[in-house]
Amino acid sequence: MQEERDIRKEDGITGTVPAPSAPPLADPETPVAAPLRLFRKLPAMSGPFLGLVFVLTVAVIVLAINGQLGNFLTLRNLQTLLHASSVTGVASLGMLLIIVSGGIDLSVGSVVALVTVVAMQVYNLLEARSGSPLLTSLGAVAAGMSVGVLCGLCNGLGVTRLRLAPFVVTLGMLSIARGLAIWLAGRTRLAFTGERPAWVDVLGVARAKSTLFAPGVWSFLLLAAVVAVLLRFTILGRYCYAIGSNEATARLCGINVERTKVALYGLAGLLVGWAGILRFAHGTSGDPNTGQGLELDVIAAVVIGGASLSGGRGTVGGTILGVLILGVLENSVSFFGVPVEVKYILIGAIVIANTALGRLQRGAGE
Amino acid sequence: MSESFRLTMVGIHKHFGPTHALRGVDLELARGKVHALVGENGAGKSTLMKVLSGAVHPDAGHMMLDGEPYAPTNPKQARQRGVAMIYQELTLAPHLSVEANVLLGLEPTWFGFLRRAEGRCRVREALAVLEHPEVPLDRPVGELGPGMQQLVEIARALLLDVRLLVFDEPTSSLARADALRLFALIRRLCDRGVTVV
Repeated sequence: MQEERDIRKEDGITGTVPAPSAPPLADPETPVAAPLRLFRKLPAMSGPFLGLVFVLTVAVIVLAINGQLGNFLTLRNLQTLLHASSVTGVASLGMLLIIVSGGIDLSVGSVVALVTVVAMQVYNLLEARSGSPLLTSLGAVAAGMSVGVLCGLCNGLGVTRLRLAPFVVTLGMLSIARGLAIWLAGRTRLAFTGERPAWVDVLGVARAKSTLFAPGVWSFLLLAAVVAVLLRFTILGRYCYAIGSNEATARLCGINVERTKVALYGLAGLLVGWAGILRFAHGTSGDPNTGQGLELDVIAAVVIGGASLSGGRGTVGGTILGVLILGVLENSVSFFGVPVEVKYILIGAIVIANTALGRLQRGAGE
Repeated sequence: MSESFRLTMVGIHKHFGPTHALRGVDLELARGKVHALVGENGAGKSTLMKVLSGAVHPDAGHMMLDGEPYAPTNPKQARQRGVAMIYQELTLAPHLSVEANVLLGLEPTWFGFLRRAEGRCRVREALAVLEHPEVPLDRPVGELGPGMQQLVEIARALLLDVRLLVFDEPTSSLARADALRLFALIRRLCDRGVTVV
């Protein structure tokens, strides 16, 4: 304020500025038709929320007709649904970081498979040598998650150092990670050679007695909170949105775009690593064939959640809703006999409808 | 002699392949004055201003800014020395808010966390200097009109303690009323000692 007063005083001395303050600029909002105004007044998350309501409504109607509604609307089923969604959920948080920054990661499913195989190989190897369950478990989890981070960093370096499109780099990683997983597993599904550790059973059970939901679900919610804080309150989050919104501007403003991207891909790799550990515990195996098509579910969850594939837009809240939508559909198909084709058609329809709604909300001109 | 000028350019040459875009250009820009660079299409106006703002490196010649050697290797370095260019195609992040755009690259932080109150205060001060405190800080820039978007760019330059501001055809995308406001704003910037091209 002091500065403002000084300037006005200066203006007064020179007499070059006749008005004490500039007139306000015109309201930038262009006039729009009534239905568009209605759309624009809806909260940003209304698209994914409406999608979830729609899916739940369809599920309730179909299951009511099937006579399965009583089993669907139970705490037990909610626990199962959330447990089954936790792998997709954790991987979606990593994908959100990448998509917001204008990238894409097609390697998620293959890296999850590689993580399960590496974790199992390391566990069996260490168990044979050390015999300490704690050290063995820590070694297996650390190795699995390190593989996730390493794959993420390789993706990030491929995008920044080789200057290749994220689609190309991660498509390559999709194939490399799957190939490595099959090779390391010796073309078979690996099992525990000795006794299964207790933590695997704890993570793998859908219905926890003392904590209401499975630990994997709580880990998803905790990580969602961490990613939300990162995106909203940290410099890395701000740069993530800036790079996705306009990379040239971010560069012009002195942001180290390359380093930020590598960090984001690395963080996403860490989340994919944890998703792999969850899948390892759910399946109690090192399965080189697991996670096929997971990347598409993860991308769909993030896009349904309101993120833009061209970058600059996306929220953790929307992504959670996207994961829930996919979870309800998967749950209805897996346990209640809803035809699988209904799931695929609804996912496609929701992706398109939600993106169209988002466009209307932001104005058709965008 | 050169110390009395904000910026001097001496003997600037620039080739683009066989094209000799700048042939020994000398330019002196005075403090707190508005300068207009006029010339035909292809005369080299844009190239000269890009040299000034660090986007293009000259093949020969030298520059002095406030009596000190000035040879930016990129726009970021030029901005850090107080030389900013407002391009015809504005360089904003449309999804980010006004506040985030003005602060971009200069965010005050504490161990990686944004110090939002301090940042907001600095943006408010910059907009107050421009005498446009009505600009909504939380609105995505992509939703603003061209006049306000240009204001956000200028506010960003002010945050860097701008000494020399280069506009590339600033009124081409503005309505007449917004253009008049821009001229008044340029006069106010000059009164603060900013050199404008």
